[in-house]
Amino acid sequence: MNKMDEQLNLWANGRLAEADRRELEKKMAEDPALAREAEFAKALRQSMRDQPLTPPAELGLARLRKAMREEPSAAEQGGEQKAATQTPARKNFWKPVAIAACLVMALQAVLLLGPAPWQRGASVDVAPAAGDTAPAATRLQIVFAPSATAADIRAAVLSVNGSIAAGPSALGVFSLALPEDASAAAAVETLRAHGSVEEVIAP
Amino acid sequence: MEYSVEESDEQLLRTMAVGDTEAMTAFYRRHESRVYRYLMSKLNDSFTATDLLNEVMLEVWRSATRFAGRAKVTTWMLGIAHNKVLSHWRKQGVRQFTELDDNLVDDTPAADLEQALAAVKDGQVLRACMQSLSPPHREILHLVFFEELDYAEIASILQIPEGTVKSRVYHAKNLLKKQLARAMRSA
Repeated sequence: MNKMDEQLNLWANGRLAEADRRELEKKMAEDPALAREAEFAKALRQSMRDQPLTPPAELGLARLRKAMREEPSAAEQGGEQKAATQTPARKNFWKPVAIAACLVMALQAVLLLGPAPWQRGASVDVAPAAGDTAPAATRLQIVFAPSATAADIRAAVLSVNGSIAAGPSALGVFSLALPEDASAAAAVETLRAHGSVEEVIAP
Repeated sequence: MEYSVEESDEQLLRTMAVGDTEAMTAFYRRHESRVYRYLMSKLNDSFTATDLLNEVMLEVWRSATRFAGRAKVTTWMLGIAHNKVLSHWRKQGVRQFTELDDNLVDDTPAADLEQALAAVKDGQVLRACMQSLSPPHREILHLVFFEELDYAEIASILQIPEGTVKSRVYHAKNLLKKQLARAMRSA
């Protein structure tokens, strides 16, 4: 039935091969019900084609042109993709610089506020105001990727048995405290292996 | 540069691929109505059809370099339109009608063909009856009777087997006949 239906539809559209068309028309001549089905298919095609429908025309074209202007061309898109693969390093250049700047500022504050370190017997008092003893542990400065989740951060911190001692700063820098006996170099290497870690700097 | 009707769709696409916006304008003017009608057959909503027409044409512009020539340009373009509608429905959380059973046997009595034949010639009645069909049924009748595509091309656009196209056309036509006959009786 589906096969005959397909033949009738192709016939109505004038797309049936010549030999098939003649054969079908012969069948129609012998079978009035089939002829009426064919007539229905032809009338349906005609009525569908006669249906009025107004597309957006020039307004639609103006909208498309605007969208195209905002769109880079295919050649530019290729260039952009290439650039995108090169951008992360350039985009994130400020992070190590920011970490270094924070360290310089911290050092400067110690030098300005504390006793002169070249004076014999002088020591810099960096004990917390709360009265706790100053942590003896090594601290690393670390920046996580913007897409890093809480689970990523936790995994990275626990991989070096560390704990977040401070941060994040306005620039997203965390201070990570390592256990007393930990090697800072080894911890940096472990942390850098995490995809979620963007930058780590040891003191 | 002005493009004439002599220019084939493939030639226009090749020129679009190197960034010629005039070729895109010619392409848009040539195919706008076809894409819009197809979108309307699926969506039955002129606002969404206008939005998606813009998206389809923009996608054609973006993908001109990737047209491989394995199908006719119109088949490729209507395939893009089909996918745009599916994405739109997904975003809207609308059921995609993929569960439509094309092999379901319709055991309700056949429509009175004479009544259906009389009704189908009335454009308004046909429009109302088409709207009562599901989007996949409206869409397939549009592709067969308006686009005059063969079943293999329709299968390629909708990404379904050719056998499914045959069953779907058959069922859609029978459902439409029933709607037309009913409309005729109630007139």
